[in-house]
Amino acid sequence: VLRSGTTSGSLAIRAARRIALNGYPMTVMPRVMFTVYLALIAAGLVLYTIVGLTHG
Amino acid sequence: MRRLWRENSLSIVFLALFMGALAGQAFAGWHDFNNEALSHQQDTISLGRYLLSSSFGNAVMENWQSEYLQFTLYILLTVWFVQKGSPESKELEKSGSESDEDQRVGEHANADSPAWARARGLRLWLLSNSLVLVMATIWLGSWFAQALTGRNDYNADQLVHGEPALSLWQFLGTAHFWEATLQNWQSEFLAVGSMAVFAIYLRQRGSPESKPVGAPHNATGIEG
Repeated sequence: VLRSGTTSGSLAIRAARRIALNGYPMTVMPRVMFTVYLALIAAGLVLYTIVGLTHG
Repeated sequence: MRRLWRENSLSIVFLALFMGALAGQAFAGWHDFNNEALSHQQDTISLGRYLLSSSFGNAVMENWQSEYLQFTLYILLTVWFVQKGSPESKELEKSGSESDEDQRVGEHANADSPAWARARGLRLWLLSNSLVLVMATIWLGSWFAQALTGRNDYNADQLVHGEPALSLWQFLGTAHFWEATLQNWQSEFLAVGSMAVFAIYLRQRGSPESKPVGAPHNATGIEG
């Protein structure tokens, strides 16, 4: 039995149930791709700035 | 899964191409680095050490900065500059930042417009310029990282040849830094300029970067 709540666990369960009932929420994917690209770029910039500053 | 692929294939394919090319660059660069070290009677390094080296970082950042400069300038300059007949250009009379009605902001925002398109002041300004702000930040960040790693790489070479190491400020004044920077910029500017001009008369059926095949050569701002 699922009850509404605010913990991340219950949110995840409710999200999983919505996906099971309605299919994968496609509006999520553009955000996922946006985040993946931005995170990759930020990781590269931070990494090689640190490498440059630490004379790697 | 099929729908996920169909709706996001462009970003997935380019992500895969990026990862593959970066892995190839790392592997080839590592071998090249070690070959160079052996020719100077120096120790070779592991792949992991090479990935965290200024040599590899400089090669990556040098290319990133020029690509992001290219897109920053292209996004920004196409606000005001136009090219008759090019699908990369706006229609000639739309040069400039356009009216609120054209841009669907403020009271002209639609129900499904981003929330900040309805806002005023800083939030609207940020949303209105967010693409250029992010691209320019990446450009400047990668150019800075190129300078830092390039200096380390340059100084390593200086030491091998018994020359003095340079400060960052001194390195920014070297022909080496500017040659590495400008050799990338020139190719980006040529590629973008030629793309805008070639697309006046040439077509690629089905591509949004091209006009429809049957569109007239003088049609401006039409995408297929």
